[in-house]
Amino acid sequence: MEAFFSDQVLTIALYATAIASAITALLMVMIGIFRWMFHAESRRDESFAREWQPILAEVILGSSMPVNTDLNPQRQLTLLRLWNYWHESLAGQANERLKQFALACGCDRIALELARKGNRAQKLLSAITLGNFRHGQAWPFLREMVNRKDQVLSLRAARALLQIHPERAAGELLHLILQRQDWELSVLINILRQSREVFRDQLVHQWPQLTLKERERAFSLCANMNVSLPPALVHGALRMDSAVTLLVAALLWLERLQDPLHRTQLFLLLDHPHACVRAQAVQTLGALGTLSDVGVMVEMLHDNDAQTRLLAARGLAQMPSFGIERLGTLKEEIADSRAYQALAVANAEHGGAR
Amino acid sequence: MGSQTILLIEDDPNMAYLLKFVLQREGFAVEHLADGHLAREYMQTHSIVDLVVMDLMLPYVDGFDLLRWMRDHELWRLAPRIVLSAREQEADVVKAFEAGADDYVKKPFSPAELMSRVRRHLGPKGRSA
Repeated sequence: MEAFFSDQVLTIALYATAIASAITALLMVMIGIFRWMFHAESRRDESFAREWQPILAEVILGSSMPVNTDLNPQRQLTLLRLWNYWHESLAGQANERLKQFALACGCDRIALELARKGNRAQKLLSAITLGNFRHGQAWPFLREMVNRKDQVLSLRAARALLQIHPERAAGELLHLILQRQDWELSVLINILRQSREVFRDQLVHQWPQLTLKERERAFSLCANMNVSLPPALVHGALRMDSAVTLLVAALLWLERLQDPLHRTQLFLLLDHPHACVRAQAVQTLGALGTLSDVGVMVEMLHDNDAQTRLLAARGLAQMPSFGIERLGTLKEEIADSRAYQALAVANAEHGGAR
Repeated sequence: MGSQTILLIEDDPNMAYLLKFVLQREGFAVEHLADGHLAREYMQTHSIVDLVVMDLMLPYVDGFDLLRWMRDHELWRLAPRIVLSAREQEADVVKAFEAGADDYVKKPFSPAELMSRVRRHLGPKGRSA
């Protein structure tokens, strides 16, 4: 036995096992405690919701209810969450009644306090609440939040600012909107949806000060939101000597909005030295082209760039004035083997005869 | 009107609470089911109700599939179906009507407007043939 325990390696192994077991036990206790805390918080929230849902429902239906301003901080947070949920689910008079009730309960004061001193989750809740209240006094706090690196918090703050004062927010936030690559386009489009016109106005107003990258993103946003732009602005971007990335972004916008005012420039860009510009120009022409453009599209089937040839073939297939049958006929008649390949692919994509 | 029954198919407990509250306040009896699977089971074992109010984004059985099932069912096709959904794209609205919806209310919604649509569908001419 002594020999057994005198073995140093065995001793180390025993100590290591004991320590590992103790750490495992500690972890299990911590997990148990966190689970209990989580469930306790859920039960508190559920209990609070059961108490407040009938009150809020009565308010929604137009009954006047006594207000309770004597809520502890935890309950204040739950009330704000519940109120925001209802506010964003309802429209019309019901929404307005809910807002007045929340103001009477001091929810705006609570939200301002959270914006000032809260942790991240509380600031997030305050941004949502203050935006829904259209609370002017929240502007400096939201303005500070919008500059943070935290993507979720900054976007929520931006949304709130646009809710409170769309014109001012669009002006102050334009550069951020166009610069922050971490602000996903799809989220921005949702946020800007109610303020499309003011965003457009600010964009046009500040266009001369925008950098190349900002202009590219601006075109991308406008294309996705279906926002029209002044002809002079678009004309300036579609010049032959514009940066390639800007040209592609502007052509994508043109494809989406199908503005016929820029056809002349579009045709010129079909001869651009850069293949990706020609490819996008062909794609755009396919979207807004008419019967008179078929000849030009057929010419693009002979372009040196494979992608351009394929997009020309697809464009022809999509043109209402051309169609898949004529595409099939053209495929059989064309002599250029590269053009034939492009037409064959487009034909197959549209289920044409082999 | 007080004895009419509405089947409410909504998975969000908060939304379900409010809708049930509003409908019951108007004097309707409300049967609430929280997912598409439960809804289909209910409809296979119970007689039809006076009206269905339902969400589209449901667990287990998609709201569109449920609509089509009701549309093609001999008896359940007679119950007017009002969709209440956050899906606001034109394509979704069209798809819902093609699947058999009789009305479509987008969220966020006005409870007063929803109730006027419910009353319209349950009026003397409300039952669809």
